[in-house]
Amino acid sequence: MKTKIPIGPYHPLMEEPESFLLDVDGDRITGIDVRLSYNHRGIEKLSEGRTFEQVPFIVERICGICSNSHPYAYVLAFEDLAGIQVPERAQYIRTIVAELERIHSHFLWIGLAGHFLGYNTVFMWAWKHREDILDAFEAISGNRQNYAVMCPGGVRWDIDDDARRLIAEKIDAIEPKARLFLKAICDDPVLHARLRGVGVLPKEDAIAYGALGPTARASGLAIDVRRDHPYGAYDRVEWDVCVEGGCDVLAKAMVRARENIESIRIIRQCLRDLPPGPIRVEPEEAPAGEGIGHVEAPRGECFHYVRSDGGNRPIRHKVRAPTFMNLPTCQVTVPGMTLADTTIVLAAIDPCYCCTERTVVVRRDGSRVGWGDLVRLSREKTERLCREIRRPER
Amino acid sequence: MSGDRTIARERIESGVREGLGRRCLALAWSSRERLWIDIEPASIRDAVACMCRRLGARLATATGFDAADAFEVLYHFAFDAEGIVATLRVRIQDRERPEIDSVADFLPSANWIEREIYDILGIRFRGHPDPRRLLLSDDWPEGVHPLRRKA
Amino acid sequence: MKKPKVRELLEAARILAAGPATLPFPGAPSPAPPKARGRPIFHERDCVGCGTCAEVCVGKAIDMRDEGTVRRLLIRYDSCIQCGQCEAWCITGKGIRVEPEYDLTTYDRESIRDAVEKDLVLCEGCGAAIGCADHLAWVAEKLRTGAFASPTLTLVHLAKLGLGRATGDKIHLDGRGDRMRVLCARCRRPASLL
Repeated sequence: MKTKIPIGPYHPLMEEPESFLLDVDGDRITGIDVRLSYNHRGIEKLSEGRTFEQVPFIVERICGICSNSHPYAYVLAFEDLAGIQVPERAQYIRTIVAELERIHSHFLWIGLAGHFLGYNTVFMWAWKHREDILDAFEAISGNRQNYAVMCPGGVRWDIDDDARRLIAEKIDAIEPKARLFLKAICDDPVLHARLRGVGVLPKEDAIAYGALGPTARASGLAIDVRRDHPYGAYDRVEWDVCVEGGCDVLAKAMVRARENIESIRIIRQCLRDLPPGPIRVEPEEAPAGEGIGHVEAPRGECFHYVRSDGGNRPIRHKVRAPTFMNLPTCQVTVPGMTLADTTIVLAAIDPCYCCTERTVVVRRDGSRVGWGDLVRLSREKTERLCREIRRPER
Repeated sequence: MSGDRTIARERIESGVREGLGRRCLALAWSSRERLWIDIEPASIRDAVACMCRRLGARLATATGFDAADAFEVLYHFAFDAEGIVATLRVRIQDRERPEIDSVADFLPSANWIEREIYDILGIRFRGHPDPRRLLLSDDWPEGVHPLRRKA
Repeated sequence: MKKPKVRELLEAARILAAGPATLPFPGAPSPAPPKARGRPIFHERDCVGCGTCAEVCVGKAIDMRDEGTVRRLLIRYDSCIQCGQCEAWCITGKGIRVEPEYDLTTYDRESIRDAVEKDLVLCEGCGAAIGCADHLAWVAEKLRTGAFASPTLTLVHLAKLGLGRATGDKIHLDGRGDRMRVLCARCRRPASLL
């Protein structure tokens, strides 16, 4: 029998509000609808009241996790508009910061995924090791989030020898942890039982929905803004785009775990090749015109468009975060799943809670089922699978 | 490297000109990677089909803008293999009832994009499969579109 | 992991040996590195009262107000986003400085403020504020001999050298009061004789 289950918008266990409406038949989900708006802050309008120099500070607060990607895309849009060439050293520093952000964001996701599956140890370990990266950020930029490194024309702070040493140390410390998680994702039988074949997004749908980032690359769609539309120092260092063909949540996890290793490679090369020179050019006035900037945020392409009438403020600033394109793919990945798998399938696109919004509350047959219950269902499934795997003769 | 880029530019430009034909009102490069194409609003479905199906571009997003004398909608397409972003610009002159054909029926990625533009500018996308409010809160008054100049 | 392997067990052993990673803050202090961006503090001696910090502040947390013969700059930490633009653009580089003090929690919103007051130079004709005395002196020093093109700057500079007083609506050059006048940019009362 069919039930409609509204999920959302507020629940004490979820970080931010969002609403999903699930159509449930028995234990299977047959349809899903997403309703947003609970966190809409009018950032695009706010930008129109700030100077070009001030806008990065507004947009870095769109999201706490990908706090660097939005300013990076914005300054690229402005530099496109104004025709500014950024100094080499700034390009390398921008790349280092962007890759450090990718590592911290993927570690955060690994922790969350573990939490939803019932591996709280993974959650604790991932977030603990992530602290190394945050300490590195605090030493370079003065803040653990909202680093405010990007500015039109370059970067605000230099990476001196002490900072270089510190970053190298933190990277050396985090590499074995990244490899640990990668190996666990590759060979843990319970993870495979939970995640293989779950939340499948076929490649044609990834293309049709305009999926981005690890969500797209896990469906065999080999797109990555860093390689396709080179910026920063990405075309001057060796690294690989991580693509998997599995299309399921396991593939998405593999992509992120592998990207940690690639990010470490990129950072090491940038530290080694960091060229001397200025870190910023002072922008002249922006001419009237338009500019587009896009970067590969941890979740996919972050796209900014800036328009100027020749004044010192943007007259239009368009922000498109990657989760905006990835969220609708839940219409393909969720139907057919059981309630127990809902949390991990929704979490698999790594929805930037701030960039687009979030969450969930379920009502079934009149009684309320919360996100906490969905997480509990998910963990119970993990327990069940563990028992089955330990006693394969069953 | 730059030789490849020049060839790619030429291929995209000729592909666009051939695919759009008379519908292409103007075409200009603002830099090596940024292409800007003007078309009439009536051509949008053919133009988007040309960019995505014929030329293999990805719709990255669309920007709505209140230009005082018209509403502009800019459809930004990424050519990932060539490293170029091409933008289709339409100008909707009717300020009382701004409308344009939706492309969301054949391009699912345009679905939320068009819903967002309706919310902030009030441009109606004819034939949109799901024209509900997306970003503005439930108690936001109808007919008030925050990114319009008067608002 | 549910079925721990040697690799996970080793990691667990390592972590147990290292002890808890969580600090008992606020039970114990957790100082930030020197470069950490905490709250910005005014330094009265190095501040010239130009108001650039208020101009560039992204969060509009710095308020500049002229009251009588004094200019007051006030920063509200509940609006401050700790971006550091104030320090970056301060024309002396030291008038407002960001400190690593990050824990500003309080129950009293009015307690998280900082302010600085600087003396103004006023037009002796209409009373409008020309600028802060320290700021005009700073400009005069930057311009060096170019400062002589502006009687106002010259007088303020000479006052700074100890040859008179330049606050409020009178600039007094000791013994030369009858020979010099302040020229107001707003009302343009004439004329200065050198």
